[in-house]
Amino acid sequence: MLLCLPLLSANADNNSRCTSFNPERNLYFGDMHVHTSYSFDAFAFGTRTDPSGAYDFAQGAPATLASPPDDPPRTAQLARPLDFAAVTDHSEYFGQYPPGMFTGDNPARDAWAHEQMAAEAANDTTPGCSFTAFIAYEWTGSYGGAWWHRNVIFRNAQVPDLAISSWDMGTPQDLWAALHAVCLDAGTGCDVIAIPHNPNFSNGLMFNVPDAITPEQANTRAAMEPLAEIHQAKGDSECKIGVQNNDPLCDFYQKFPVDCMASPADPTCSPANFIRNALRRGIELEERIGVNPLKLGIISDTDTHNGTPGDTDEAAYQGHLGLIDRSPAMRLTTGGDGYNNPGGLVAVWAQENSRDSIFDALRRRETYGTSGYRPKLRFFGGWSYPDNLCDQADLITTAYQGGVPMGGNLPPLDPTASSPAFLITALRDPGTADRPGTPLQHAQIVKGWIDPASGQSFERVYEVAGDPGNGATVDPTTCQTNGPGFDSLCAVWRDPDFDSSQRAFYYVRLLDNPTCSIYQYDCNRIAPDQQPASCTDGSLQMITQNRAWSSPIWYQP
Amino acid sequence: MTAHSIRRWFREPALQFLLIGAAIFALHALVRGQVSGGDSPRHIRVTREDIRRLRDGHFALMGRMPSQEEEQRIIERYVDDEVLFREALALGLDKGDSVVRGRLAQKMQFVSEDLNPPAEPTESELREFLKSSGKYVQPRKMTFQQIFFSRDRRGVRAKSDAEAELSKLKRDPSQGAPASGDPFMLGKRFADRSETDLAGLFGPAFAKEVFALPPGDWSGPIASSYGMHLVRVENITPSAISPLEAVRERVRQDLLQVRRDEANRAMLRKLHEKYRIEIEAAPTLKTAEARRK
Repeated sequence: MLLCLPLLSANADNNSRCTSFNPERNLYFGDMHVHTSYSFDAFAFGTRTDPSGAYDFAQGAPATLASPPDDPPRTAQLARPLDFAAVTDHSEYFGQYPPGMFTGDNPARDAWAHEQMAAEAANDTTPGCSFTAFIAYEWTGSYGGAWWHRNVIFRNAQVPDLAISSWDMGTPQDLWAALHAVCLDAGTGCDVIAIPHNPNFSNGLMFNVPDAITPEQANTRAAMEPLAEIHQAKGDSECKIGVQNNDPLCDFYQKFPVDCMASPADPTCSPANFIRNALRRGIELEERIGVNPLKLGIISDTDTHNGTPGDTDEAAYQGHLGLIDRSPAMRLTTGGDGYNNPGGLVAVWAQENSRDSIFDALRRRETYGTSGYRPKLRFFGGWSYPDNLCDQADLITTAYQGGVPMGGNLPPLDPTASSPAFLITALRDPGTADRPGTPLQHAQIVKGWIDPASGQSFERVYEVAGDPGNGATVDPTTCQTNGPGFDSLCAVWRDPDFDSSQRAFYYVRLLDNPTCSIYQYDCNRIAPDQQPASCTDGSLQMITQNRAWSSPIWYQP
Repeated sequence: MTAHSIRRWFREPALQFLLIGAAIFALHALVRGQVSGGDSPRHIRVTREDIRRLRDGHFALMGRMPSQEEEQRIIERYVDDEVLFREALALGLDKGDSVVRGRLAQKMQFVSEDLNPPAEPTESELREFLKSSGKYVQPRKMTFQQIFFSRDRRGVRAKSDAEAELSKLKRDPSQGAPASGDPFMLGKRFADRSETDLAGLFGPAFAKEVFALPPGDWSGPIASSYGMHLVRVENITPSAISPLEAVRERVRQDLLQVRRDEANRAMLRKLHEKYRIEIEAAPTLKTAEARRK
């Protein structure tokens, strides 16, 4: 029966280890930003789940959450386990938390060794390939109060003896150089990427790449950082209204309430804080120097500090900051100032659920991020896709053979084609037995391009599938959704404004029908007479639309 | 950085979390007796190491080393805290503090673990634990093909179209790779997937129905979140305990943890012997709950 498998020559280089190997790639959901009791802040918030406990939680086991001594214990459990996870404890203060646990000569090294053991033990190396655990940590660098944090993710068990902290290496450039020295160039089989997150907290630092960057520096950056985290518990970083755009759908779980139309000079309104703007900056620089240092694929994660990877379900949400945001009222008032939503998930298209296969998918950016739910999204670009590709039984085979998946460069310009063609195909999140997923509403393509004469970048949002005006609604008191929607979307889209001289990128934004935001869910959990003012004063976005963002496909003239 | 923006960052709750964390850390360090030099209860000596730690703490909060002025203030604050801490101890304020109490209890547990490291499991102990724990089980898996009838495309006809196709397939069972049905972005054939996998891909009801099918013929239609499917199970991999070679490190760590927990309980039992423990009768839980409200 194996002979029935469609074989793709392009993928034949990948050795199969798992019985579920699929040359046309399986979809796996994960979370690669997770703090446990080994992180100084998570411990201080009361979290006692350790890295092993976090990997168990990711696979469906319950975890105990922090609660005050006099309160009943709290537990959490995923309704749907994850396929992969990376625990990313802060390398700063490694070994000092949990206090008293690491008493040897070098507590930092010992804590890092424990992190490795936990990932090694959780990583399923049987042909069943039920779960992948990556060895990882967070480098928590900042400058003048602004953050340029990175998660450092290793391909395999060949990792350095010590986790580099921001006290060892203070800048991202120094971090990359150090990772080259102790990992990539060490000749040990070590392989690593760094993933920037919370650019929204960076006050213009994260993607502020200067004009003077050399092609060599740009190559280093692009190779070290193929991805960026677009969404997580500390807010959304896709784009913001007033920051080089006026896209109404950018108004999604924004952490900082600054009106960037009125106050464009506010540091939270810098274009270097947002990924769409970074993608534009990347092609601007590529136009100048021939290399794109910001060739960013898209993921999202939780950044949970409860040791609870993938804990994104609004209806079951108990916070991500231990004692600090443990109740709905705390999340809606002081505790909620830190984290403003349950965060997201990363999806990868990989041949199998193994470290090598998923790491390769991360490297080639065949990834997308979601705002915490599980829609299925594929995105391909090519020159020869037929208009009726969505009607063809072998559409995915055709899509791989005639083009590139999300995260790739369009093949060289086909002079017979007037524009590239993109395949966008999606399935709604099937949800769980208790909570079926919400129907899809519409899919958009966000295009950024360069005017070669001025070197300036521009952007435009195109509707490509579904119906943004379908009239679907949600009842805020029950969070029950109503109205029409789509179980699936599929479209072949040709860029009507394509100009072969203009460098460009394209990514998909997929939107669900409207649902309650986490604020509405939390307000509904509080008796009306005890609700904080924010439940009724209009200051919070009570209705929102869950979404997914694909990695871009780039066009190079 | 302007004074205004520094104030703004201090108001930033995420930073406040770090400050709270740092405060708890400092408290812990004090409780641990790591910090604070001095030869007598009335002698406070701030050592070079103390100052280094304070600088590091500032760096962790602010992302830079303190200026001289800031460092002066930090040291003054540290001395103030040390004075207050010692006075608090003298007044017995550490007693009845649940944070201090919980922290010290946890430290005692680590101390006991350090004193009584669990014995390294033997090969046969590992094998026994692998079999008895029930944790290292690969779930039942299925390899199957499916033909999709989209609800978006066919509406209510999806079911009757699927039924018609099924009777066609039953008339001509030799038909191998089906060309009928609608395109499905996840593919036609699924190799060795668990029920949990299928629940994520098609929805939980579909997964349950497929996992009740025997291998062999086409059957259905089975409803998913997307429409109707005809399914032919090719192969079933029964649930099985993983071979030790594949899960050795996980089994070893889990068994060590079991032993650590046992040792902790044993230590506690032994320590209990040193105490006379009395537990008074308390009001029933219901009454206590009612009072709290």
